[in-house]
Amino acid sequence: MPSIARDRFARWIGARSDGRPLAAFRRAFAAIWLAYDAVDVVWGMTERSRGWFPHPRDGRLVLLQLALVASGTMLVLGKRIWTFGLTAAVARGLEALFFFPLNDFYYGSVMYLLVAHSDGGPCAAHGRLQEPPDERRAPKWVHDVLLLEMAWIYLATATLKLSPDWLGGGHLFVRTQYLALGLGWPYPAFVAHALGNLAVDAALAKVAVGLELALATVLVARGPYWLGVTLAVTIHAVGALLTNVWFFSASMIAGVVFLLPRPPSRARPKPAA
Amino acid sequence: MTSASEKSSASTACDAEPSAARILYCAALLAGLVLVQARAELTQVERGYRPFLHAPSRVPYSWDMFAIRLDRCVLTWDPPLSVEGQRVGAWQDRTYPIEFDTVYNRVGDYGGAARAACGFRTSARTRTSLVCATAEGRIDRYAFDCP
Repeated sequence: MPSIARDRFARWIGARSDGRPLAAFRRAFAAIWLAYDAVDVVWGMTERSRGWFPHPRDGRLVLLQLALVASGTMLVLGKRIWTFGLTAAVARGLEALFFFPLNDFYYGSVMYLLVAHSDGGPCAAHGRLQEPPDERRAPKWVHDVLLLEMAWIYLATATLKLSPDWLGGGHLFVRTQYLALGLGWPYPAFVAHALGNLAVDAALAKVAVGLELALATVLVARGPYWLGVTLAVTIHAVGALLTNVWFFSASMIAGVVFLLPRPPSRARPKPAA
Repeated sequence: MTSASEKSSASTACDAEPSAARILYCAALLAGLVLVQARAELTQVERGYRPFLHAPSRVPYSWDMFAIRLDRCVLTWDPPLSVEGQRVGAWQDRTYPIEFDTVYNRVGDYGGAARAACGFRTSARTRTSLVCATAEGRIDRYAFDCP
């Protein structure tokens, strides 16, 4: 029995699949967070988030941000993916653990770690592949694990939202009222009025949990594609407007759009000459 | 030209038939991911998270985004403070409106920050106001003169 499992695992690790969706996700994910890190390193956003009061920038954090910008650039370009993917994973993890414990950063460290293996991992990095890296043939396990990881994130976050604070609407109430009062968020009047009502926030919160659980199921089942994309866009577009979280939202949508298997396209009949 | 022995050694490392080292590497990587995230969920339970009863807290890699209990406040000062040569009438005058914001999760932390900010006042009589949205669905208002 153990040897059957071992053989299956070995076959899965050795299996290849069309790597173009994986490469597209790698580029999109890296580009989204490259934009984030470029803005961050120039204007010191994370440093300001760590402390509102005047203080010098921490040189170690700037070094991590520079490493993230360099790694992100190389991942967008598709150069030395394993080396720079691992560099980004470590830099993001250190940034989260020692400087600013943002969920987006923890998420980034896991995704960079997996993306680092999208063209063959250490074998590709050491130039030992028998043929040059080919985006059309990538390790199947990386694609599979990225889908499972995203499904787990949706399942875990939906489960942790099963609390009176979320389901009662309190969390959404706080987020939306803060945006409206503090940042003058341009909600239409009727939306602002509705979001100020705890019963409306509670209903929205319950719908959000349902949508997250549904998307986790779609990701595990690997389809239907358009249902998954619709769920992801709905969750994250509405979520971004209600919570002011944009980069994480964009990268989760990119994950669903590029990694969920697409239905086979129907061949169009050629027009008559 | 690549010799037959070189080809053979390369294929054992990275070919479609993965070597034992490669299988071990992938198994360790995936086990690490599973362990870290499973441990994070257990930590949530250890720290008091109970479905439908008690909210989770911040635990790395548990994916508690938007799930924790929090309050948020808007701070203003009249007359404005002077911070690094900038007139600051509101907390948001020193933060960025999109994505990047400087926030706390508790009213008490905002209160502490409001008192600390009084060190940057430009007038002996400076009024500090806090408007706080709370997890109970209330908008609470507080005000005090800087000491």
